[in-house]
Amino acid sequence: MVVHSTNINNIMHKSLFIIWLIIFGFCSEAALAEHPLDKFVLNDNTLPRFKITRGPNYYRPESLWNYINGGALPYLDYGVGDVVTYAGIWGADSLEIVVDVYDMASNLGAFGIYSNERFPDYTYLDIGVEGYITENALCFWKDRFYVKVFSQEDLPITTEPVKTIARKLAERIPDGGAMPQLFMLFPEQNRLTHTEAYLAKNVLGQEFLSNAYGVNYKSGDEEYQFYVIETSNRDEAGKCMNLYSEFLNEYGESKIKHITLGEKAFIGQESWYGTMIFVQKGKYIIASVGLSDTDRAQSQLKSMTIGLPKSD
Amino acid sequence: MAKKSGNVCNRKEFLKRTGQSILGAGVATFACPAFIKNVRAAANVEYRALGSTGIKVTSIGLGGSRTNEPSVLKRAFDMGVNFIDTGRMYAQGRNEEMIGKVIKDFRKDIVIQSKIDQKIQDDAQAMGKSIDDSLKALQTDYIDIMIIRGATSEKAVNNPVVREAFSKAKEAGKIRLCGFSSHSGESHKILRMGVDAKFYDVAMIPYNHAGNFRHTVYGIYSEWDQEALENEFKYAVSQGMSIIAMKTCSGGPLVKGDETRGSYQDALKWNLRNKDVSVMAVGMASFREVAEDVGAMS
Repeated sequence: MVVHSTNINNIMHKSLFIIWLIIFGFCSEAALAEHPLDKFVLNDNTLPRFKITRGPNYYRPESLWNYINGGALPYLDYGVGDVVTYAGIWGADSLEIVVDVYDMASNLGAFGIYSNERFPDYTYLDIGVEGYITENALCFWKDRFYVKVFSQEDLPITTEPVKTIARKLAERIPDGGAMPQLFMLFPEQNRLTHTEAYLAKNVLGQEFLSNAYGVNYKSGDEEYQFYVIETSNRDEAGKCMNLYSEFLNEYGESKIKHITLGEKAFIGQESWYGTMIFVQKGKYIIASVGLSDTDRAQSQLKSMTIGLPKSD
Repeated sequence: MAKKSGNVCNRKEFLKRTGQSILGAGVATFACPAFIKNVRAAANVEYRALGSTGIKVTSIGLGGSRTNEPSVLKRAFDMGVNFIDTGRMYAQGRNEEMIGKVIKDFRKDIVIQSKIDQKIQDDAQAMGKSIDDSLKALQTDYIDIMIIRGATSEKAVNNPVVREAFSKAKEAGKIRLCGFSSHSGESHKILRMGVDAKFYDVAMIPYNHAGNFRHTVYGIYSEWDQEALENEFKYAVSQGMSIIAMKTCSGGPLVKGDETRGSYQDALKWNLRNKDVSVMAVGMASFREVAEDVGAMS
């Protein structure tokens, strides 16, 4: 009996040990598991003057609301995935700096959200694919990532720390991403630099218009835009053309007029923008928005249609 | 974005005519004059008093952060909406700049609400700068309502630094009213604290027919005690504070009777039945949504 009892005890002890090893193994693995964005968390080893004081905190599309509230909506429109944010102090002055890194899941998503938050009159920097610095923030995009480095203090006091941190982050992102090729088609005359934008949805406030590339222009006091809208196929483009012409006929300043350009085209007057010209070629719709010189608009739209990729 | 030069459909004349009619009325509904109907789609707009401030707002207002498209905002204003909510933090101030461009020709006809980020609630100087930045972006010398965003605790509601910043801004004529927003399921408790603080003019609170919101995009879930919240609305109004509702469509479309599909317009109409709510900030990202949402007042 004693021998038997000892055996049972041994077996129990071994079993408990194995269970403990399994649990410990899981816990250790969980504790050691790195978040995909951990490589963007800069610590004392990489930047001796920067000490993290808050975070890192991680967010997903379903929880980004907790961080930036209603501001999260556009990020979701552009396909945001993981997000990491943390704050730290820099140097003896204890300047607080906040870092946000958004994994937008694609180059186009990163460019899209970046392009919708920038202004042409910012000071642009050679960082990532493109970046800029404002009174208290440095933002850039590279590959599928959109990065923001903020300071509570106004620049220039934090210029160097913010730039140093941003460049360190940029080094950790693999090279990748470039301005979408379609922007090569847009006219150069009167083009405003740093206004290229990708619009994922609700282009010109219309639910049926999405996936658009736009650039702003200015001539004298007149501001206007050109757009290239990429639909799924020729039929879809045709439907969008019809829907927009119906919209202008109902809410515009006058009925549309059909013109000869591309495969199908019309000119109309919209309440906010003024003169609109829409042209279809294949699955693409190109548009001038707010350019009152219709001859120039048609000439430039014609040039754009020539450069469009072939589509069914 | 470019703006077509020209008037906004005799908007001032329209507002002058209707505004004269609504003075002194707590709640009143007016059809657009015939000349408006000829130019724009008809919209009946309902005005409600913003507490005891004398300010009248349309019961359906714009949540400005949901769009970057100025023509959508203009469309809503053309239909008679006179309230817009924005925030310094939306698109890094770009949302305020867009709104400033759209309303600059009829600024005085619009009630603007903007926000200060609660992240700077302990820094009166930063809050003052935030207000100045909002004024510049909105191209105005006053903002009707300024609120501290995201109050989730007593600290945020009773923060003396926030009060100091708001008081200074009021004295300087930079803001007319101040308040706070709260997103938590305990908003009714935050609201009571805010009312009893006897300092704020408005509170921006989630409110919809579902008594909860699972954000249609984020999936995040929050719920509240509907009866308790509505009681707190009554208490707030009795104390002279105004309620601005948000997340009004986040409870999903309202399904009535045997309907298989509900509508967001009905969801807004459900909210409109509560006269303790002065205005709803409704996000409108497209012309179709403007028609549906503004049409709820009809």
